[in-house]
Order: sequence, then structure tokens, then C-alpha cells
Amino acid sequence: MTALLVKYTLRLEQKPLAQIIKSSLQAIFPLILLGSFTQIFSAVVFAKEGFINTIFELTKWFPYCQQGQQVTDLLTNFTLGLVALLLAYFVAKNTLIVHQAEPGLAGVTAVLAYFVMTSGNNPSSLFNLRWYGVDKLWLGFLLGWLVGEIFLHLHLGKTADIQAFTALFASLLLALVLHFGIYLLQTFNVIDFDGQILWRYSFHAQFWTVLAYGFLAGLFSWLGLIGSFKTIVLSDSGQNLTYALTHKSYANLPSRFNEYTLYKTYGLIGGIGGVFALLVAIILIARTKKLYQVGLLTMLPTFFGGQLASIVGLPVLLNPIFVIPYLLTPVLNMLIGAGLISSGLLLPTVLPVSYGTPGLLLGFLGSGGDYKMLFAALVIFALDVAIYIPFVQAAEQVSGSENA
Amino acid sequence: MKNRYKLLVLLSLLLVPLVIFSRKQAQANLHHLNQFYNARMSPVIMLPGSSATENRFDQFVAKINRQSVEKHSLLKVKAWNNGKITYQGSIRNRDEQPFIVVGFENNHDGYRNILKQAALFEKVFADLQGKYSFNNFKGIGHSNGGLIYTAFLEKYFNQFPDVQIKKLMTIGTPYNFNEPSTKKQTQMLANFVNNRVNLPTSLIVYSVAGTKTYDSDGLVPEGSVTAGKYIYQKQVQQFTQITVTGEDAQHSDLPQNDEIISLVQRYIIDPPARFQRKGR
Repeated sequence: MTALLVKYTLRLEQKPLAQIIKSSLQAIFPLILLGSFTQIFSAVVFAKEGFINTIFELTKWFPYCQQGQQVTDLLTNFTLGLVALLLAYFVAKNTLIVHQAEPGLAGVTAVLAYFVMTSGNNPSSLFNLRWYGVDKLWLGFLLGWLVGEIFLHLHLGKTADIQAFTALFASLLLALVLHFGIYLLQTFNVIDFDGQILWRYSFHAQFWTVLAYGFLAGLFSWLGLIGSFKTIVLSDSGQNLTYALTHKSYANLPSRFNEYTLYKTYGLIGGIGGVFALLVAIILIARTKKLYQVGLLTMLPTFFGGQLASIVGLPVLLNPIFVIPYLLTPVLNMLIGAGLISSGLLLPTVLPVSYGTPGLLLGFLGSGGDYKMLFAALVIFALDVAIYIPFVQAAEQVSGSENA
Repeated sequence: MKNRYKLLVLLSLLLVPLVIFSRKQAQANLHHLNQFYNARMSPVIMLPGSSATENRFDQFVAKINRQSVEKHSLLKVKAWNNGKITYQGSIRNRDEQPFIVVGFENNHDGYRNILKQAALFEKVFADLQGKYSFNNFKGIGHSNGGLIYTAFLEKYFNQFPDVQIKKLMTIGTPYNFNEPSTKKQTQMLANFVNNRVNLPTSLIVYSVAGTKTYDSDGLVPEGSVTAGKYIYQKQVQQFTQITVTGEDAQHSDLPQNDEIISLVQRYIIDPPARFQRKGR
């Protein structure tokens, strides 16, 4: 089966679009790596709700939490906070490079076009920072590609300068049209000022909806549509915690299968898509230096939930080799979890946990420290690693054939 | 190959302190949640006005205790400018509705001071939460105390999302300082009105005005007290404006006013038979 996958992937990777994606992700990876580290330090170590902060009670004895957070937030804002913008630059440039053309002004034009497209409608919101970040990656890619195509195919004018001018003009015109489109969407309350979709589809949390939710979360993540997932909401009134506290027992909880008991506790054992299991599989068997190094470097942020670095660096994003385990391991985990809960072997977890709690510990801490949960999580995690191993081998075959 | 296994073993060992410390934290959290959810205490927290101290309500509490079967403890808290918090008095073991009076070292008048006092009150409130884990309470503010409460509810109360303020009574509170007419809004009133969306919608508010003359309690114009409606009306669950007259309707006598004491007993203090535990 993996042989088929390798063959299919190799064919796909010949296409120019695939090459553009790959080289652009590679270009922004260092930024994303740095940003992931600073973001994790800010949210998990320095922030008082962060996992490391709460378990080591950092605010009680470390005097520089606030300053630490300010510094790391600053760095995060100008790395992760700018990725969509910078991706536009690289995608435009790479669109030309992949077709063996001179990139020229394409990259810079893409950046300018991005500014024009996402600008607010009054002087104080000329640069709308919220549009430059991680959740607009797809937008940066789209605009970069469009601008790249304009520069590639539009050759009006007799000299190179005039051609550059017309391409620039056309790109900014396109940006204006898109800007107006965004304005319309905001006027009709489809999106808000920061570009967040305002529609909310709410589903009652049940076994099947939670599974579907977990699957979709993985799919959106693999597609690079991070943050778009807030449109779909699982409603659950938090009755479990109230019930457990007032009845002082975890038996007979009102809601056995909800986002918390199933998705967060089991689906996320290896992180979204089981990506941490992928990293461990890489450390275990990878022979290519690139995979091993990226895997090692991104282990720390991924462990605490900042997995953007790994999915961009390996890459997992839009990479057909890893799509199957990425989408299926969380679902498998949830099925196992549902089995454990139904059979009564393990109780549903109810306690809230701090931000950045590693996936492996979610069940353990959510149940107030039940070692059986930790054991189950480790076993399920080992299973996820085993699942990823053949796909890591397939990935190495692909890069091996490419480099040959 | 061997190095890799060593690496993984090392990483797994790092997991151990995380497991130990996080477990300790999770259990402490569980314990606190248990305490909070099953807390029976619902205190009445009182804030005195400008130039007053935490002893302001001594007579008030004594009067209430004389008239009721349930004797309420009195705990007095002082918030010092350097951040220290000192306690005087204690809460009896089974007392479910103690009076807690919070005084400030800086008890001067003026909008800027009120904001400082609201910030200090937030620290005191967090301290009280830590000690008693109550999940709901009632508030009484006399004069500037009502302003401190308004600022606190608008700016700081969202840091305590699980605690519910059931009732608030402000007595002789000058929402527009010394301005008798709301045609002229002070900066403070304008800010209060602008930020009213932050006020809890489940709150029930009673604003009491005293009148010694026909339009003032000798210090605060009635128009300034009634300006509170622009802040609370149509934002909180219920807003009631009450005017008291007669003896002890002078501004600083208001806390001892018999009518006000009966209002507090009727509206603020929960009757023992109907005392509800908070459960959603």
C-alpha cells in the first residue's frame, strides 16, 4: 500500500504547484520555528494560566514572568504574526523560479498587494496586523500565487521596466478587487474586522459528532486552514464538572462523549493528527538528516501544542504521504477511548486543564491524577507511533527518489 | 542507532517530573473546586465612603445584629497603599452571611483615587476568595464605596468568572460627583456609562438616596445619586431607586438610618429559610 502512496506522491510532486508549496514552506520554516518557540514560552511558561507556570507555581517565585511574556509576545508577533504576509512574498517569487523565470519584483509586489488587500478602511487601520498571521496562511498563499502568475504571464510593454510596471499595476488592481470583496463580506457580517468567520454551526456533542469534529479538525489543519475551525462548535453545557462536584463522584456523568472526554482526552494524545507520534517515529527510524533534524528541533514546541513548526517543517502540511495517519490516528484514538469509557474500564474526564498541557497528560490530569489514564495514554501513543512508522519510511523513499 | 534510543529514554525521563508536579497541581485544583462549589458562605461585602475607614459600619452591623436572630460576624479588612492587606476580627465557624468591611489607607476623594481603590479592592477580593472560596456574595457601598464597586465590577470583576454578585446596594453614591444635573456629565460618569456592558446582567441593584433637604442629603445632590440609572438601568437584571427621608437622612448618618437598615435586611441579607446553595 505504501508503495502506491510513494508512486502517487512522486507524481504529484512533479507538478509546479507542489514544488511552489514545498519551497515556500521551506522558506518560512525558520520563522515559524522561532515563532513556535516564543509562542510556547509565552503561553505555557510565562503566562499565569500556562501549564508549566501552574505546575511549578512560577508566578510565586519567578519575578520576570510579565517581562518574559512581553518579550516573547513581541517576537511571536513579528514572526508567527507575519507568516501569511511573508508567505505571499515567497510564493510569488517561487512561482516564477519554478518556471525558470526571473522573480524580479514579484515578491515585493505580492507583499504590497497583501497590504492593499487587507488594509482597513480608515487611516488608523492601514496595516491590519490581524490579517498577517497564521490563520491567514491560505490567503497569503493564494495572493502570492496569483501575483506570481500575473508576473509570469503578463508581458505587456516593450522593456523590462514597463513590463514590471504593468505587472505591478495589475497585481495592485487585483488586490483592490479583493479588498472590496473583503469589505463586502464584512458589511454582510460574514466575517468580522479581523477576518474571523462569524457564522457558527453548533452541533450537540454526541459520539458521532465528536468523531466528525476530530476528523475535520485534522483535515483543516492538514490543509493549512488553521483557525478556520472555530466555525464549527460542539455544544456541551459543562454539566459534567458541575455534576461531579456536587455529587462528589465520577460515576453516571450526564455526558459521556463530548469534545472534552473524547477528543481532548484521547484524540489529542499525540497532538492534532498525532503529530507528536510522528516525531517520535522519526527519531526512532529516520535515516534522512533533514527529517531527523526537523523532527528533533520541533519536538519541544509540538509537545506543548505548538505544532505548526513540525507540520510546516517536515512538512506534513498538504503532504500526501502523511495525510492518512494524520487524519486517522485521532479518530482511532477516540474509538479506543470510547470503548474504554463504554466498557466502564475508565471514567470520563471532567477537570479543566491548563493551557499547553501535553496531550499525553490530558487524560491523566483531567481525571485528577488517575494512573490508569496515564497508562492507557502511553499505550495508545505507542500504537500511534507504530502506525506512523511505515509512513515515515514511505516519506524517506520519496525524498530518496527525488534526490537520486 | 543507540544514540537515538538514549535520546528517547532521556526525553521520557523528563516526563517524570512533569507527571509528578502536574498531578500535585491537578489534585490541589480539584480540592479547591470542591471547596468552591460546595461553599455555603455568601458574605455581604461593604465599602465605606471617602475619609471613612473600615470601622465605618460598626454601628450598622451592631444595629442589624440587635434586630435579628441570626448574628453576623464582622470581619474588617484594610488595604494599604504598599499592597499589604491586614485583617481584624474573624468569621465564626458556621456563619454563612458574615459582614466583611474593606477599608483603604488611601480613602481620599476624586476619580483617580476611586480607580486606585478599585484596583486595591481587586487584590483584597482575590485574597478573600483564596481564604473563603465563596461562590456568591452581596455588596453594599456607602457614598464613594458605591463608585468603587461600580469601577470594580466594570474593570476587574471579569477576573472572577465563577463568582456571582447577587445584589448590590449603593447608599448616597454620587455617580456624578457634586453635579446636581446630568446635563453636565463628569468624566467618571461618562466612563461608567460607556463601560456599562461589562456589568453582570444577573445583578440586582438598589440605589438609595437620602434627602435632608428636597434635593440633597447635605453633601450629595439627589441628581447625582439618581444619575446611577444611566449606568445600571437596562443593563443589570433589576434596578431600583429608593429615596429615604426623615432623621438620619444626612449623608454620613445614612448607614445608621433605620429605613436603610430595614431595606438591607429585606433585600440584601438572605433569609435563613430560603438560603440557596449555588448550583447551576
